[in-house]
Amino acid sequence: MTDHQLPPAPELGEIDMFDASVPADLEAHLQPSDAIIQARNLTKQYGPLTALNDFTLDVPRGSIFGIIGPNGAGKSTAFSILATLLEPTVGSARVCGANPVTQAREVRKKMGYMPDVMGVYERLTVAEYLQFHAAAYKVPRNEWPELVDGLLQLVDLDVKATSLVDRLSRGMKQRLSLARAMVHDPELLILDEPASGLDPRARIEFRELLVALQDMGKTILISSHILAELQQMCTDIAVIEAGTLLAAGTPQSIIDQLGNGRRVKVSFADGTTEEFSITDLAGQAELLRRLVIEDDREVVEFAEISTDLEGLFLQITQGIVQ
Amino acid sequence: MSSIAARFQNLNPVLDRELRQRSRSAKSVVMMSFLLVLLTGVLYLVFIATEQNNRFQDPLDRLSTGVGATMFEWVLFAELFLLLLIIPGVSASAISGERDRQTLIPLQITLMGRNGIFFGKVAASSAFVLLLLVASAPLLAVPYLLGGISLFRILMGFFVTLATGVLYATLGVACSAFFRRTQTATLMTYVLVVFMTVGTLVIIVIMQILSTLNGDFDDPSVWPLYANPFVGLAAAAGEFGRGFNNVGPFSGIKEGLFGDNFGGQDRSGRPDFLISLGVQATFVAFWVILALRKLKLPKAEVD
Repeated sequence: MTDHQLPPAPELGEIDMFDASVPADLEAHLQPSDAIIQARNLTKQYGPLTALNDFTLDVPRGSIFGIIGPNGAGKSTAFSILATLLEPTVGSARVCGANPVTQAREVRKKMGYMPDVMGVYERLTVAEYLQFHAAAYKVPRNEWPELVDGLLQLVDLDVKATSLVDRLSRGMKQRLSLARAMVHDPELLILDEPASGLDPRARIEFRELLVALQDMGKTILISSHILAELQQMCTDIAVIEAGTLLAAGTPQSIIDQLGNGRRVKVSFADGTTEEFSITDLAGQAELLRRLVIEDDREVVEFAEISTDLEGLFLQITQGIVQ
Repeated sequence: MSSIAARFQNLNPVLDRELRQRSRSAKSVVMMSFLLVLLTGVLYLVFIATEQNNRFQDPLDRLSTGVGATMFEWVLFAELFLLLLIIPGVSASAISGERDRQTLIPLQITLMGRNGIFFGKVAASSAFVLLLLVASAPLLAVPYLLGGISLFRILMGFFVTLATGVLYATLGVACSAFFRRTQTATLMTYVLVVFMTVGTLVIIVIMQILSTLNGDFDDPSVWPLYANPFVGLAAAAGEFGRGFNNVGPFSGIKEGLFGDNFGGQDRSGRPDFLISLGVQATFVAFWVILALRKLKLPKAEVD
């Protein structure tokens, strides 16, 4: 069943079942929200395979929202639904205020999409490639020169304007693909694995570019395998595995929420080392008191183990899909 | 800005891009040269053969025995044959090629819509057909200079060939949208072309055999042949009443199918070339509908 109705935005984790009883008048039931993307119970099935399962997510306007998950986790399926390419089997979404299934054209006007693989045309220059997409987005022809110059400067390809697209390096093609996604000045960018295959330098440049775009007021939804990279630039993150959303929030809130609190490593004078879970600073003091006073053990080192997103990702995902 | 210039500025972006890319490709020039060389060869061979055939006649009568008309028909026949050979190779990669290059999705999520993309591709393939026909037009003018054929027949031949070429270019684009892989799309377009040209003849033969077996010795219906592009072109470019004197392929087909075989009169009383184009267009339209359904987004399933 496909349902395109959107219930009011609940908090993540509060939704149990898809509510098919919501009336068709969507606008009346939408709560005012800062979320530029509201996905509710999105499920996509291919026969017996569930590619996306009850996916519910709010992407705040102005954020860089990263989706992390292993290969086959359902990231691209979710992105395809939000980018008006695929119908969900169940569930509904609003992207830039419009339904990506029934109001795809409205979504496309305000959303730029960059797929994981960038295809290029032969015998077309970089400037012509952008002009072609500007025309396809119905940008008035008299705006093309300024638009193309501005975009090429933004992605640092202005010296390549007359180069053939198929002669560009992979990093340049990715930047050009990003410029293409912005020819109609969208408020939302959906980027599917944009940094895959890039060398470290190109990756850093790409990350800086995305931060610059956020400063320009764009909202960016991005997926990546490079967890450290997402942690550095994303304001919000969601973890997905086997089609199911495991967690969502700011990087620190996810670490706090799912990292079972803090962990400390204690080394003793007899050469042994143990790890303990604590909840807060008071717990830290209590642990130290118990070890030293009650257990009468000689502590030589007491240090908090830093938890990063990568460690947490390995901890909360189980490698169900590879 | 003049309205014509403004119209060109608002050209379908896919058509605009394809024309730009095609003009930079050596492939178009090679194909055009291939077509022109072969057609020139056909023209020369038919001229020699007709001359040989008429060698016992008074030299002054030779040209009046319809050399020009025979040359025209054979060149046009060869041109349609070559176009039906070239067009699937050009058009059947139009959309599947975008899919292969991973450029289709970025195009589909623009504001062009599936109709804009599809008909932009059709227009680009049709423009190439027009280019081939215009380039070979002087070869059709040679028979006119030799006499025995009216300008009207030449123009009819030209425009019906163009219309047929556009229809098969559309069929190729439709197959390229419907079938995921370029090889499959190309193969299927050729299969459909063979069905329309050879298949319709086979159907007629089968109908004739069945009719004879049933004891019905009247002429069987020829309606399946309306789907044959050569029959459509014959109805437009052939001429009744040529008898057996220097008859070209189209006059022969036209006389055999639509004439009374005796007085050179039109038996059907219908605009047969229009009916033939209509039947072919209906067949192509069926594939266009399938193709447009395939291009619809969002999809229920991924390809």
